[in-house]
Amino acid sequence: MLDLILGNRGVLEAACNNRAALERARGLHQYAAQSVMYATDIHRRCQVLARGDDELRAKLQFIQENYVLDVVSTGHNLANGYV
Amino acid sequence: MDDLIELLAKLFAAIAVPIIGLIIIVHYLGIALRWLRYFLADNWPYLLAGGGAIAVAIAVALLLNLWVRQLLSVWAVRRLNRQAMRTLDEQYRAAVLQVDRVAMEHGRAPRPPDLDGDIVAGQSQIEGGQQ
Repeated sequence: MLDLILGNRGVLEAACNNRAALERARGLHQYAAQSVMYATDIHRRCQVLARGDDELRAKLQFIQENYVLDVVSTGHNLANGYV
Repeated sequence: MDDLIELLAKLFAAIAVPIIGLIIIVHYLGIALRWLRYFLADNWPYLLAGGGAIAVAIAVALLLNLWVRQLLSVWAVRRLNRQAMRTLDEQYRAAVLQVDRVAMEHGRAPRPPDLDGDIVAGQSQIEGGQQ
């Protein structure tokens, strides 16, 4: 039994790591999907609000770009294992 | 004559002492082996059971170690995911507030958040749906 476990230790550890990796992938997928929904919503919101006002459109564009940068930064942190 | 005695002493030291030592060692080794044989003959079931129990205990400890490590790593990843989703919600809420504020400064009233089935600020729909 001991031989069996010691012999398959690598396989067991890989299985454990796989579960954590799967969980990480699931979290990243969830994060990406949610961030796309949020970004789309903000974009639509900005389009409606800035209709006919170029100055407001530029300001809202700046806010959107900052938001996307924040989201991408947090996504990078999540992928690297810290938030 | 003195040289002869010295030579004999050296011979004794070189040959007899190791032989005597070897005889003593073999003698006690024989006693020890005989004791071990009788001991094993009398106690082999207990020794076998004890060895088996130790092997099983080590196996269980190894499995437990792997299981706990797996559990901890999965928990850590889940906590990280929750933190990321919370940060995403906060960033979304802050961006929406900022958009609304800038729009109001330009005389545009912000849309109600639930218009056209939009996302309500701060609610993670995917996360909420899965939990």
